Amino acid sequence: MIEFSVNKTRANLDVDPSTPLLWVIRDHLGLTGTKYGCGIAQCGACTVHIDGQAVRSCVAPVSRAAGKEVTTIEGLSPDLSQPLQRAWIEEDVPQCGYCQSGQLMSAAVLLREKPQPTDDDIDKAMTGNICRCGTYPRIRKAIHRASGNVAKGGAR
Amino acid sequence: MSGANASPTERSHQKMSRAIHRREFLKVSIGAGGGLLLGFRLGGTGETLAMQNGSAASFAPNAFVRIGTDERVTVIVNHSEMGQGVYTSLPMLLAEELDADWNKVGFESAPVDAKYNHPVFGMQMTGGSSSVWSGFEQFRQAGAAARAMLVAAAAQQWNVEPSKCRTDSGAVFDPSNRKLTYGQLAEAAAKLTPPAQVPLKDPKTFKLIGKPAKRLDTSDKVNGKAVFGIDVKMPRMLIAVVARAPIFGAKVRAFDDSRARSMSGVHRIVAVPSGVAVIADSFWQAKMARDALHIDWDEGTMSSFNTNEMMRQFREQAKLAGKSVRRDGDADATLAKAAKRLEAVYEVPYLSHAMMEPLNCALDLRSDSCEIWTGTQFQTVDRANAAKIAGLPDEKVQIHTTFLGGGFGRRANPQSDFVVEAVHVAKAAGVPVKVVWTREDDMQGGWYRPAFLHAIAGAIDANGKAVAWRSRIVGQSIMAGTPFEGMADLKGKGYDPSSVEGADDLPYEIPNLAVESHQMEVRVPVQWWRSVGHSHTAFATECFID
Repeated sequence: MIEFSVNKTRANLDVDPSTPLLWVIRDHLGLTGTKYGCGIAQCGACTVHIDGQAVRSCVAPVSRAAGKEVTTIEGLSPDLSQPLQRAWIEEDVPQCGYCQSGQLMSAAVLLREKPQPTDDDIDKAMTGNICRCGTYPRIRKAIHRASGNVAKGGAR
Repeated sequence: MSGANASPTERSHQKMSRAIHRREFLKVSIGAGGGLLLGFRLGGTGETLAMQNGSAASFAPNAFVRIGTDERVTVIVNHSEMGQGVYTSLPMLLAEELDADWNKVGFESAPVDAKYNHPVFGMQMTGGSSSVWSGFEQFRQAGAAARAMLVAAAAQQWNVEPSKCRTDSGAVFDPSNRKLTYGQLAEAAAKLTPPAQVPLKDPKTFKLIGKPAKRLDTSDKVNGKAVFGIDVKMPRMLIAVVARAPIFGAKVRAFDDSRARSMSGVHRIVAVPSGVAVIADSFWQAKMARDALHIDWDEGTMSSFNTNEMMRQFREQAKLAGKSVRRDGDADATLAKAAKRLEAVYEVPYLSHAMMEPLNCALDLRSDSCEIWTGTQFQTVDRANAAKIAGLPDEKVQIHTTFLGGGFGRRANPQSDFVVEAVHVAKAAGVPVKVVWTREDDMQGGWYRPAFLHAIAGAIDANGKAVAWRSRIVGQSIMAGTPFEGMADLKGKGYDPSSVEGADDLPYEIPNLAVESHQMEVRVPVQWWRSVGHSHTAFATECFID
């Protein structure tokens, strides 16, 4: 049995402890907002938080979450009120949308650690999150917007 | 909650609301002629659609729009949303002519039906950067027809001339500014006969078209609610991962599943035409068991194939004249006596479409029906191919198009490879099943952008002016053997126009221009990809110009 909390709800699961957290979240807990892209921590689509740290859940065994607090995109806010979600809507960031859960979860950690990031801070923090549609300029703009720097960002 | 799919609990709500809705819908739609809209599905604007659909009877004048007594305007979109924004752009076209309140507009993915066929390609599909231009009249006409009926319904109530009424933001106004909203008029409008043809707006009066609008699907894409094919859930659903041939065309001779069978969560392991499918409770269990299989492959003729050798053959081929695609003047003669002659060879490799969302397909296959949930760009073709394997007539197969985590053409497969395989797996599973490809499966799965070789020779005269250009393009055809073969006139032309597009209409003024094609037979499965021929012709021609 592995016990941890997901989006403030306690989960108690009888799963192989080596199972990647991603598949426990998706298949066992039914939270499909966290995406599978590569399975080898190269694309960032599966990014979640374990105790507030951004983690690639596709390579993190569920045992790593034991006793900890996991936050997924569904737990970012109950009502789209998280500043990043609002900024994402305002800047019309997503296209196909598949990578955006991971983008948001990475951005959330960045803003907590650096509430006023520069373009370089953003590029560094977001470099592990691939977007096949190429929404990067809008992602950067939306992060600035969420941080209060509405005028900044965009394509260079 | 958007798209055609939902969690098990949501599905049962959907079924309930569907029944209620259908009853009310039939009641209000009586006399609406050919406008009956059955087999609708749920879509959305981010609200709980089960409630939305259940709460309001609707006016459905045609296959593309439904207006509820709750003022909701639902646009049924016949193209797949893969990032290009058709769940917003096509509703905009309809809402423009309807004079709808944009804040009340939502979307739904269309079921498979001939009435949702692409007006140019004659089948339900998304591709060729064609959704907006091909739907431009279609969606506007649908909106204009609905508007005319709402105006007629209001005019009847007020006993005024319809031509004296105007519409704005989801309501009809009479000359004295009395107002009836579309929701208030929905029931009355549903009793009218849809007009055949309605004049469209003068583009100068457009309020939505050509103006920025926020995408309708963003909310669901920033809170995890958007349902992609890989997210589909059904009660009792199992997950399958397939061990596919490591070499194109290889077949399973025998397999040993003794270890895999005993692994936790594994239900069944079966041979399917594409390989061996492991059906398990969850993806990870299925994948681990799949990786524990020992398969003896009959490798077939492609076991000695390698792309270096293929490119060497392409280079040899390029030394010969190919099928003429375009001939202006005499490039060969000009090249032979040129003051300066330049030659270059450009090679581009096979490319995977590499969508962020790996391929997948969920099915509920029963003895008399088949329901498919997947992110596809090729509904008509997929349905026909799935029906064949399922042994069902086409109309017993329904496809629920989910959001696509990228398409780039891969999800418009001429043989419906990822759908057909899932039907085979579902036959063995006996319960609803979702086949999920790993990233590696997806990258190795073929149907690539073909490798091409361009051999270009150019001549410059004594004044430094480009006077001759000869381009020989060597590679596989993507249209051969597909539904587009006839339309592209492959047999008549003797070459595949999509192999040479961008090279045969070179924008530079060169008096002696020859473009030739060598169509090669290689047993690597290939298909269209984003930008099609231009992805390699632009590279070769522009590099040579530089």
